[in-house]
Amino acid sequence: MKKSFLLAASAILLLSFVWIQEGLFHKPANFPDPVYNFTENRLKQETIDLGRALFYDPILSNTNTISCASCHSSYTAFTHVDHALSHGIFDSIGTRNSPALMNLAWQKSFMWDGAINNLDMQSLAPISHPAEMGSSIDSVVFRLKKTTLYPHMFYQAFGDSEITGERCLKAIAQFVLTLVSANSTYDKVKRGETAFTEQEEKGYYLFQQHCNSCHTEPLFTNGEFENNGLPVDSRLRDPGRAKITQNPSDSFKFKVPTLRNIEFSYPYMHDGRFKRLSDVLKHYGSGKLSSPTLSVHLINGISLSSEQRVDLIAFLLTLTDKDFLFETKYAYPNEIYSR
Amino acid sequence: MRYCLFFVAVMMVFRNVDAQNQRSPSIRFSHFWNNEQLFLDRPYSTGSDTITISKLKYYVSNFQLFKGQKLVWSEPNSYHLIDGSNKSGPEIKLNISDTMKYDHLVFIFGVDSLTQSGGVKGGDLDPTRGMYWSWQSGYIHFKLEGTCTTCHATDKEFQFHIGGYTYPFNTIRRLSWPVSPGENIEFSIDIEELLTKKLLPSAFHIMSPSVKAVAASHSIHFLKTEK
Ligand code: HEC
Ligand code: HEC
Repeated sequence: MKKSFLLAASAILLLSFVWIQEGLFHKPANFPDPVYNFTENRLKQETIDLGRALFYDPILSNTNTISCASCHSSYTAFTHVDHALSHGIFDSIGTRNSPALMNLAWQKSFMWDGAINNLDMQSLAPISHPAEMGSSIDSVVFRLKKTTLYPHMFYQAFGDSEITGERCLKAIAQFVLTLVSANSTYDKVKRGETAFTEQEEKGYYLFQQHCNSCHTEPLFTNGEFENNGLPVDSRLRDPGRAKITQNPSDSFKFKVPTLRNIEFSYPYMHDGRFKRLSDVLKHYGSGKLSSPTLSVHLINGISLSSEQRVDLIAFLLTLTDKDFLFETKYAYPNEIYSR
Repeated sequence: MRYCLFFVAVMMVFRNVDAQNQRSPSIRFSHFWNNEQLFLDRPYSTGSDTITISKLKYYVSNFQLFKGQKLVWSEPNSYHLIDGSNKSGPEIKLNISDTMKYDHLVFIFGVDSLTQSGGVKGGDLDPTRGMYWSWQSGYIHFKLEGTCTTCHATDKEFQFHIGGYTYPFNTIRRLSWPVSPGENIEFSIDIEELLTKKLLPSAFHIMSPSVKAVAASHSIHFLKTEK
C-alpha cells in the first residue's frame, strides 16, 4: 500500500519534471535522449531570456562591438555567413569557420576539435579569445554589474541579483540549448506528414549509402572526430583533434558537423573553404582522397555521377527547417532590451 | 521497538548539535622560501638570480578521513582554492564529531575529473577565479608566476599553469597522510625547491596539459608540518 503510494508519487514528480522541461525544451520524438545534464542547470524562462539578452549583447566584448550573434546569426542557422573564417574585434580574423548552432543538447563536445567538454564552458572561449571578443569572464561580470538591465534580469533568473561567472555561463547555455531544429521536410517525412519527391528519395538512398556512417541520422552527426580527406591548408595547418590530444593519429580529424540547415550554413568545412554544396560533393565524389589518418569510412572512396550529385543535394535541402530559421524567440531580443 | 528507534533518533539529533559545538580540527596550507614563510612580490636572491613570485594559487579538493580502509567522513562540496597571497591561508575546518575515529586523511591535488566535465560551478570553482582555461576545457590546478632577473626567459617572466585531467596528461594527484584524531594539520610546500630545482631548470612556461605539466605535477610536494 505504502509502496505503491510512493511509487505513484515519484512517478508524478518525475512526469511533472519532464513536463516542465518539455514546455521550455522540446525533445523531438525521433531524437535520442539529450546528453546535456539539465538537472544541474534547470531551464527557466527568465534564465533563457537572460541568456538570449547576453547572446545578442556586445557588452561581452572588450570593445563593445561584437556579440555572440555577430558570428552566429539566427537567420543562417547561427553561423557567420559569407565569412570563411570568423571575424572578431578590430576586424581580426580567426582561424576557423564559425559552426552552425543547433541541437547542442545532444552534443558531447564542442568546437571543431572538441576542445570544450561541456556546453556551459563554451562561452568562455569566444569571450576570452583575443581575435574574437578579447575580454574575460571577470570583466564581463564587472561590466554587467554596472548596467541597469542585468542585475534585475539576474534577480528574475536566479532569485537574487548577484552576478557571477557561473550564472552568466548557465544563462547563455540555457538559451543556446533551446535552439532545437527538428521540423525540416526530412522530419516531416519521418513523422509521416509528407513524402519525399522521387529525386529526394534517390538522394536519401545515396546519403544512407555514403554519408550516414559519419553524418548519422537523426542528428546528422555521429559526434566523432574524423578525417574526411580535405587537403591540408598549408597556411593554417590546422591539426584538428590532435591539437587537443597531441596524438599524431588524430591529425586532421575534425568533429563531424551536423548537416541540418546545411542550405544556409555556408561556407563549409572548418576553414570555410567551400562556398557551395556542389563543391562539397565534388570533394567527396572525386574518388581520390588520401591522408594517413583518412577515415575508414572513406577509404574506398565515393564515386558519384553528376546526376547523383544533384539528387544528393536535393536530399540535403530537405534538411532545411524554416521554422527554426525564422523562430522569433531566437531572434534579436528587442522586447527585452526595451524593458 | 518503535520507542527504541525514536530514542535513537533523538540521541542522534543531540549528538549532531553537540558535534557542532566541539572544537573541529583544521587544515592549513603554507608556503616556504628558504625555510621561511614565502611572501609574494618580494625579491628573493638565489645567489645567481633574483626571483620574485607574483602569483601562487592552487586547488585542493575532496577532503576525506579514513579509519583503515573505511571512509568515515568526507567534506561536502570540498573544493578549495589556496591563494599564496593570503598569509595564513584559508583554514579548512573538519566539521566532525569529537569521538570520530580516523587514522588518515586523503585529499586531491587539483579538481576531480567528474567535476571538470560536469559543467560550470560556483564558489571557488567559478571561472572568474582565473583558474580555468578558456580555449580548452579544464581547471588550472596550480598556478605559479613571477620574474627572474638573470634567467633566459623572454621578458624575464616565468609562468607555470599546471593542469590536465585526462589520460595521458592527467595532473590530478590523490594524496594520503597518517593523522591522529583531533590533530590540527598543516601542509607546506617548499616553493624555493620546487621552482629553482624542479621547474625552472626545465622550462619557463608551462601553459597547457602536456608531458611537462604531468612531470611538474609530480614535483609539487606537500610536507606535513609537525606542530
Ligand atoms: C568572432 C566570432 C565568434 C564569436 C563572437 C562567437 N563565436 Fe562561437 N564560434 C566561433 C568559431 C570560429 C567557432 C569554432 C571554433 C573552433 O572550432 O575552434 C565557434 C564555436 C561555437 C560553439 C560550438 C559549436 C559546436 O558545434 O561545436 C558554440 C556553442 C558557440 N560558438 C557559441 C558562442 C557563444 C554563446 C558566443 C558568445 C558568448 C560565441 N559563440 C561567440 C566564432 C564565434
Ligand atoms: C568519414 C566521415 C564522413 C563521411 C563518410 C562524410 N562526411 Fe561530410 N564531413 C565529415 C567531417 C569530419 C566534416 C568536417 C571536416 C572539416 O571541416 O575539416 C564534414 C563536413 C561536411 C560538410 C560541411 C558541413 C559544414 O557545416 O561545414 C558537408 C556539407 C558534408 N560533410 C557532406 C557530406 C556528404 C554529402 C557526405 C556523403 C557524400 C559526407 N559528408 C560524408 C565527415 C564525413
